[in-house]
Amino acid sequence: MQLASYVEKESYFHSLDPRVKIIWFIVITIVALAFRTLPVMVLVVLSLLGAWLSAKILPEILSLMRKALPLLSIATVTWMIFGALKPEGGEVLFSLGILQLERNDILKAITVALYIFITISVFYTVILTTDFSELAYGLSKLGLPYTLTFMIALIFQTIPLLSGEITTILNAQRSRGYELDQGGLIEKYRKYASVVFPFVMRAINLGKNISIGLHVYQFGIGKKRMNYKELQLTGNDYIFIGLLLLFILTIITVSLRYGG
Amino acid sequence: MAILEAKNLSYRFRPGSPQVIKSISLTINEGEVVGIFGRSGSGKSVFGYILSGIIPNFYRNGIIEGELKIAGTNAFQVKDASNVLVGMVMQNPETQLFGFRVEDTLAFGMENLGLSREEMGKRIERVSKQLQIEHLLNRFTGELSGGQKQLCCLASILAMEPKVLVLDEPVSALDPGGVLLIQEAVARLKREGRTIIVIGNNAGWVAPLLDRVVVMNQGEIVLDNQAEEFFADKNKVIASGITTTQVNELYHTLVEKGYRLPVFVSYAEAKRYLWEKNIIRKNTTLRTRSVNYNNAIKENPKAPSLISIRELSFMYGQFKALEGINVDLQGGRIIGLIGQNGSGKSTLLKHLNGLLKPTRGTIEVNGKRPDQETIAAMAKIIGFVFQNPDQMLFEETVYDEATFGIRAIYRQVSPEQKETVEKLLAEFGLLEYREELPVNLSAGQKRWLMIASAVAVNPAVLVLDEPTNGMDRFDKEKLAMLIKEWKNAGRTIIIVSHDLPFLADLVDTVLLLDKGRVKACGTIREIFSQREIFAEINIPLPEITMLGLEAGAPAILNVDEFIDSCLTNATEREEMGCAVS
Repeated sequence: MQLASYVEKESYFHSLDPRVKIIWFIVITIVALAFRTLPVMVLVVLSLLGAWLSAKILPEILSLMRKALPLLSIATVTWMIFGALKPEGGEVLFSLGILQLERNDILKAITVALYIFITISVFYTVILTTDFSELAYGLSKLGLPYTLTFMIALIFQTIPLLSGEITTILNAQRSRGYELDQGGLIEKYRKYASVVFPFVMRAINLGKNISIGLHVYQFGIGKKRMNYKELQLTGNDYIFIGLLLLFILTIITVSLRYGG
Repeated sequence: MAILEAKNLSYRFRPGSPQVIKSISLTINEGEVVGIFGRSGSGKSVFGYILSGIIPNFYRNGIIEGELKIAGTNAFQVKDASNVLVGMVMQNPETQLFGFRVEDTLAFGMENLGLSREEMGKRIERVSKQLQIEHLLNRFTGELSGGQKQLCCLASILAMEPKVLVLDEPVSALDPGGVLLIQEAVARLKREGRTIIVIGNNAGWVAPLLDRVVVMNQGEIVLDNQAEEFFADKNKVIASGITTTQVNELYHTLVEKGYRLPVFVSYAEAKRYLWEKNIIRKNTTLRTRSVNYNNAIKENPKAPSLISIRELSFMYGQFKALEGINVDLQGGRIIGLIGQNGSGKSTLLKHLNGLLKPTRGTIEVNGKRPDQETIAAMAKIIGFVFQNPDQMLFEETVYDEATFGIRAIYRQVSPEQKETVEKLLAEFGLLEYREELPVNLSAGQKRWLMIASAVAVNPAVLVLDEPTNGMDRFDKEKLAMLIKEWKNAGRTIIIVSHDLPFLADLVDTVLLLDKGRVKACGTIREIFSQREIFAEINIPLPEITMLGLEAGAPAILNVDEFIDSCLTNATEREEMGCAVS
């Protein structure tokens, strides 16, 4: 599976300070969690659509939607079944034995699916528009310990290497005649488990080499660390913060008017 | 003036274990470029780790004895971390680049040293100019070629201003274009008076830049010579096990034939001396010593093809990895697959056994369509030895690993197959380790084990991906001999390699890929006589072939052919009064 990675684009959203994007991510996540109603969810999705258009990442988001569709479908159906098991006296659309599907159950299920989609896509939006060095720097400027933020950046850097390793190992074993995809579920599980060994060995080796690399660069050894790049909020950032505040006010108003 | 002084340095991995470095004393002067070479297990890498402080600061459990002074400072008791004594560039740039953009990676070490932003800016500007990578500063490191990545590692280490640079096998993971980049960078640093230590078993890429050669064996320094003295002596070069340049081998042969010449290791020196001394014949023609030369084989258009590829194209998403490949390759040959990294070599190979299915076009191997067969079925016909043995080893014993392919394909090992495996293990020096855990073998032994495992299946086609990577000259010679034996037994061998001198003396047919297309395909002589093709794809032809072309003899493949074809005979020499005894 192709994992999320930074997409280089010249856009307003890309140019924002990473701290602003991280705060935006936190705000959207909290709003989606705190005001979990359909009108709010629709508003959040519309605001996200604006962000994607501004960041020119709509194709990547559509690709994410395609990948997330099975998960979202399962969530929607599961939530409808749970709702149908607990009748609340609303307008019944369908009934079968103990199941009574009400209009509200469908709305709730769609809300939950939208909530899941929002939390995934807002995270994805930050990743697609912020390179891992900027992200780590932004997080550390927001107060997280540098070692932790560096680890986060390192994970993003290492994932493609590990992904390449596992593909090569699987290809190597298949090329030797090892039919990894033949047999029943247990047989497949046993075969794939055996391939884990070279992967773990390679991962350990990779980790060791990265540690030596870090040592060569005096990571964590020297004086107080200094960042080469300096983050400074620009006019664009202030405009975005203003829009974000406006968005929060709108959400609160909509919530008060339509309940939540 | 001495910048590095090691006195009686010894090291063992843990108390009571044998010494892996045995009382080494070595002095390196400021501005010297020193090669520390040795076979696998000679202790050169451990010594490099000690010089660069990884031992004892990172690996702390070992026992180190003796003294190490760098720029007058006791290297084992450095208090000021900002005083960077040694900077090390390792084999794999992927694990030494920290940051998204090149500029971030260049700043990383300096950030850890706590330098001011102004100072970091100045140093980034300086080192990027020094290594001519200013145009890369804003690029994403993941998009760079291997050579560019390695240059960035070098630049980020230089930005920390170490007193001594240690380069640990810096080109072994690079394609020819990458090697050229590093070669040029090291040459520039040498001109600037940098002290550089190069570690490895391949001196070919760096030989013309070396001032001194140190050879290690079993944890000891067994030779410490001025480079000129070392490269002048064939016996020393051979005994060291290192790979030297082809022109240096030519020098040795000429000296054996009685020529009196100044020692040469670089192409430029060879060209100057050979022409200055009137050693090159005026009208050269290609003369091979034997009609049985591998490379004299002609393609027979009527012979059936073992591998037939028609209009093959393959897309990775939107990226065209292969486009319109049309090739027929006859069996019982040694086929060299050449191209820069990213030219489509691996993608093409993955189509041979069905790991990838064509986006368009067809491929047939031994009458079978890999896209219509299982990979296991194709494994009976085509055996693969991947570049990195660690990605293949996963059995509990060497014997099980060697029989893995047989068991996977045929479910059990027949008595004949068992005998074959044991014979192969004995031939590769692995029989005594048959009950050992394969991951505990040395890097060289692991590679031989993977070759044994692939050959044991007795495939009609054997694919070797960069087989000489990390091999010393003894292993290379052994492999070349085996490949010829397999060919004589009727097997087809496909070798993917950047090591053109190795291929030149071995392969019959060359398939040259560039940007997913076939740039050229033909006998090695046909291909190696086309200098312009190699210039276009930025892959240098072997030095001896280039010298032959300069002399007017196309497609010279080895030193013997060069001597037979291009050198003046006794009468001509006498007429010209050239220097031969």
